[in-house]
Amino acid sequence: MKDKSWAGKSKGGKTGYQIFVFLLRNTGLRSAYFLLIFIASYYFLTPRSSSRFIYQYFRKLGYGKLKCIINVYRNYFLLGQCLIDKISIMAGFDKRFSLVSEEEGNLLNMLRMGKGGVLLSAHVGNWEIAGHYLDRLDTKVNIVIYDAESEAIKNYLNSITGKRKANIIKISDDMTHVFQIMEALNKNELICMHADRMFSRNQRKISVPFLNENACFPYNIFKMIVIFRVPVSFVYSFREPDFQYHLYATKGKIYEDKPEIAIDKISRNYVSELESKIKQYPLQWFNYYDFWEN
Amino acid sequence: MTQNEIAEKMTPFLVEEFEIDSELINPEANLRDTLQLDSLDYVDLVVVIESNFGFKVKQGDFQNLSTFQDFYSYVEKKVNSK
Repeated sequence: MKDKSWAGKSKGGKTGYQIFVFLLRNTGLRSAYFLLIFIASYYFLTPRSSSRFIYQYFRKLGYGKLKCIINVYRNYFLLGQCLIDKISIMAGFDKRFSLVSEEEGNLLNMLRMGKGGVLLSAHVGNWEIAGHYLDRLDTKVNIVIYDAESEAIKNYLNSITGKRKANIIKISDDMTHVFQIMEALNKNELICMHADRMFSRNQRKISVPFLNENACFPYNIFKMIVIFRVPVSFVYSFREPDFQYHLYATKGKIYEDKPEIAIDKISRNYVSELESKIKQYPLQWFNYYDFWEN
Repeated sequence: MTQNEIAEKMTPFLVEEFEIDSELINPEANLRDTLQLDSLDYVDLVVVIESNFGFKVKQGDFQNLSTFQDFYSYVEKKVNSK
């Protein structure tokens, strides 16, 4: 299968973030969005592979060519808005934002099972906002990440937003993250992970149809959930008008079939939910590489 | 429990779980490279060790384990010290 490892770094240097933070702090959100028009235009107008892959994604959704081209720009703009919103919310620059959800009860019910839980998400919408607000669940939230982000950027953002409410578990070459995950689940805590990317060539993949074509997903994440026999919920947070983010969370479910059957079921359910959500919020897909096998 | 017994118990699991040829599993072979372990594969190893050999794997236990021989020695030591 074609390797679709992702390098792990996001766009934008430290200076870019500093400029946006300055605007947020001194002139407000709208000025930051205004500057974003030009940043997004730059990304849209300069030749780059990310545009080609996002264009392909919109074509898979069935849009015409012109609409796809326009949506490439809108996608870049929305990505920028999500990043700006994240900083604004977590640093408290703008108090107008809110997170609404009809399904938060699913997470509470999952915690009542007493086994902790795994929240699977993807690089869509603004999951970090969800993580920020999830402290109201009265349990610790642990976010498992592959961390190749620049230390300079991370340190700078942490200095602005303050320490994250959620605990960060970094996937590393030693086994530290395994024990941290196991310990968290034993304490009835939540583990949040993305299941839409591989980060190494060695990672075992499972192929699942997504938008009518097979795509690869990380097999071991689903396997880990089955081995630990903990409930899993598929959680997403999407940007909506009027400073609102909408949290979605499926009912927590423990997959108790034989491992291979359970892994297949979880992966298919995950992808089915992801597809459903991305059709509802098509502009908030943020995987800028060749996502499908072909 | 001897290292041979440990190897006999572990080999079928490793062959099935990591889809490798049993001939590749020999004492001098590198554990990580032979099994092509990624970061989450260790979950499998920890769970199978704990359920088959009855001891808790501690963080740091795997740090100095390079070969299958190292791994069998580690399990032997833990099992026989219970």
